[in-house]
Amino acid sequence: MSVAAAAELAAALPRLDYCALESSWAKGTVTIEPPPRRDGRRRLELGDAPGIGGDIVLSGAVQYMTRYTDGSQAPPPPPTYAGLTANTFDLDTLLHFEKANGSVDTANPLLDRAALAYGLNTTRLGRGVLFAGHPKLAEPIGFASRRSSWTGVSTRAVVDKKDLAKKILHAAGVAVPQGDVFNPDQSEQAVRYALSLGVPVVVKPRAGSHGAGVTTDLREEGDIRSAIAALASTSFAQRAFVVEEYAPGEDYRFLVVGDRVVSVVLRRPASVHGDGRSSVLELVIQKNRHRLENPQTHGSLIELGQNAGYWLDRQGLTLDSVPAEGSLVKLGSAGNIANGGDSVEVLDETHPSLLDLAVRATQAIPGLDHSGVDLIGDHRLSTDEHRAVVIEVNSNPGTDLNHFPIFGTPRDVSTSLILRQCELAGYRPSHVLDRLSVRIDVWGRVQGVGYRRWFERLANERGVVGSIRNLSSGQVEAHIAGDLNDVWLLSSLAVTGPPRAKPNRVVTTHVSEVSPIDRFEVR
Amino acid sequence: MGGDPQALQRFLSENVPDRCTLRSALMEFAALQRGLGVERFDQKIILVGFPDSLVPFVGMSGPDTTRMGQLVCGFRDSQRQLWQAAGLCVAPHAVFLPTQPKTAAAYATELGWPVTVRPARLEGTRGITRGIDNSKEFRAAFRRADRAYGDEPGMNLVLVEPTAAGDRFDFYVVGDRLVSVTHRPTADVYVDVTDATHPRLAGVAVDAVTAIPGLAHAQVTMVAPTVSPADDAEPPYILEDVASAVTPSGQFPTQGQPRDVAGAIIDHYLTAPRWKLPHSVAHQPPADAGPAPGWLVVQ
Repeated sequence: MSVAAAAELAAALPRLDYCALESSWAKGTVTIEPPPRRDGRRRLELGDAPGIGGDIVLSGAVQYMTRYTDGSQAPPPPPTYAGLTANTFDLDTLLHFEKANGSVDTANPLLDRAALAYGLNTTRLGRGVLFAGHPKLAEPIGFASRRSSWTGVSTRAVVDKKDLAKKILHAAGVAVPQGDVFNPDQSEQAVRYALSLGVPVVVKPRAGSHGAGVTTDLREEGDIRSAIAALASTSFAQRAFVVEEYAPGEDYRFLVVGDRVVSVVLRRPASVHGDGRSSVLELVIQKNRHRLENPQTHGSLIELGQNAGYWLDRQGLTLDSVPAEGSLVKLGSAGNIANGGDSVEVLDETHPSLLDLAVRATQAIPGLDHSGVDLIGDHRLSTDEHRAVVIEVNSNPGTDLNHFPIFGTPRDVSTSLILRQCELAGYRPSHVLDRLSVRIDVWGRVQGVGYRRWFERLANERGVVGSIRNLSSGQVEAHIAGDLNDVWLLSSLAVTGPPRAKPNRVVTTHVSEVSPIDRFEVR
Repeated sequence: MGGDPQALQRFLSENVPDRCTLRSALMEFAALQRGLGVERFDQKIILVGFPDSLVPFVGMSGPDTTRMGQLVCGFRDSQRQLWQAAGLCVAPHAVFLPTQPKTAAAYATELGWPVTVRPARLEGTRGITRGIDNSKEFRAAFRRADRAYGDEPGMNLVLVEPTAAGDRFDFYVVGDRLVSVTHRPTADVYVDVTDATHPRLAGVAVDAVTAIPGLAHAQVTMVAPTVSPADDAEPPYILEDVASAVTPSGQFPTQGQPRDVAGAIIDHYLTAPRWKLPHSVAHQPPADAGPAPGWLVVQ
């Protein structure tokens, strides 16, 4: 709804006290049924029905509404999957890393935590760049986001262009789906190619990520044309796209570190289970309320957009349908968490031949020592028993789905990533510190902005002792001691600071002791 | 120039800029000269068929130029900290936010004129002003450094340091080998001085690249009165910059012998590729792993 329309609405409804307009990142479409009429000057006309003349349809903004629902009814039971109950996390701590769009960005902080826990000193240059050092390391280790000092620049170019990655994988004997690349003006050729494959196909952007623009299991010519046409309405318009064989099976993310797979996450498309009483819309809101409780899904609630509508149509359902108890309602195809999907950690049940396949895929691409391998298949079966294919390899794999899966065992993959970098730098720390004593030096605009008081409040909240002071050089220096997770939290948040601060470098160094040892003080 | 200089010139004139960029063409030519198969993917990306692997290059960067290494090339404050930690000479310096011009000017006065102002976290030559002699020039230079960021995300930090006395020399290092040294007395003049360079400075250049994590080859710029001191005294120098995504000045000097830097990079990948090292190091999962952070284990 535009600002102009909202203003007209306010004028037409004298008792309207306030209305909410979308924020810059909230882009749900709220419509009215029947649609409002406008006169020749595009002003809203009064409808035939009371009020604004129709019913407001809010489903297009369900992912935003969920954050503000406050139902009086008893909360629905937590979701389950194959007998597993949804995991519970210390959301209060992790929400310190919440971003404006609702997502919780823990990737770099968790690497920082792992480094500090193993006795490494860390330097953070902004929120996404981390160095860690130790006298016994041959060179400092580093991460830019999740890319390390072993992730090649040209490697990124390869994995970002899916067809080039597939070429290298195929040359190395790794099974990949058959496919080809087309320019936006080659729709007809693409459709003919898709039909020539004789199997269901996938249409996806050549250089997309997070499942954006991916449509799978396309069986009819009309569906293929629609999927290609749909790309034109996304940010991938005017860009090359891929048509490839649709490989049936489940969608997995294998996180490979060196020669090992440290986590396997089964990614299920967005869906809800019927309870025989609630409508699809109500089930989505219930599920989204649970997604808010998980750091990984906190910022990626189920959306009821065009894609969900397509899948509901295919199942003969609408948002008002009441699915039978236990029935599965699919709301998407791409098994991607960012699109409302579910995550199930299944490393312990995964067949060794699939682990080997993921490692081979990673090592086939020069400049990858760790990666996220996207694989289609069945994790319980060997590669001899079924066709498992690698559909993508990621050089900057997200780690939140491994740390915070909705179901299954959470894996501390950040520790694996840090230890791996240490192994490659010639020193393998072995002992985890439960308690830390550190000095934290902060550079940037950190004086005269309430930095020390902000830090003190956090320290007291977390039961951390020590002190903080301004230095004449313009930086701030803190000495703190406490439990690993408390000291880590302060160290990681130090690079953010209070609203008026602009830290540009934070160095955390292990020290033998701090003072005072019974309280926190500002000096 | 490596191989046949005339053949290289012909190759470049036939392919650059329509089919590919200059740097990518240099790599393609060097690979072809060594009998390696090359498949061009676009103007910047080629796949080179080494005996046991297909290796991608973007411009002159292969997998041994890592994201971390490239990033540090744009983080001048971090470069200097890493060089200092490695015992190499850098100028005293400090970084400032764009909102701190007065504090920065006070620092410049304290250092003593002339000073150099440059964007602290931006690779390349944009926004650099050397030889600033007074506060008025400083304010203008500070604004230029800030504006050089354009729409780049992140903080527009500005680095201030003394302008070192001497001329600028570009050292191109590949692995542990110095491939070229180019004297740059003025902006447009590139004189090859590779063979006359003091071994101590060659060692400094290699150490400067080694100090940057994840960078197997790069061009290091240092300021020195000369690279060929007459006596055996330790030649003075100040490290100024390191760049991974540049056309090596030694490849096309305006005076002296051209050096086959692209060929040296291909040779590096033939003989000692860094990216293969992890394949021989097994990963041991943590022995004392506790529950994942933040997980509230339900008993």
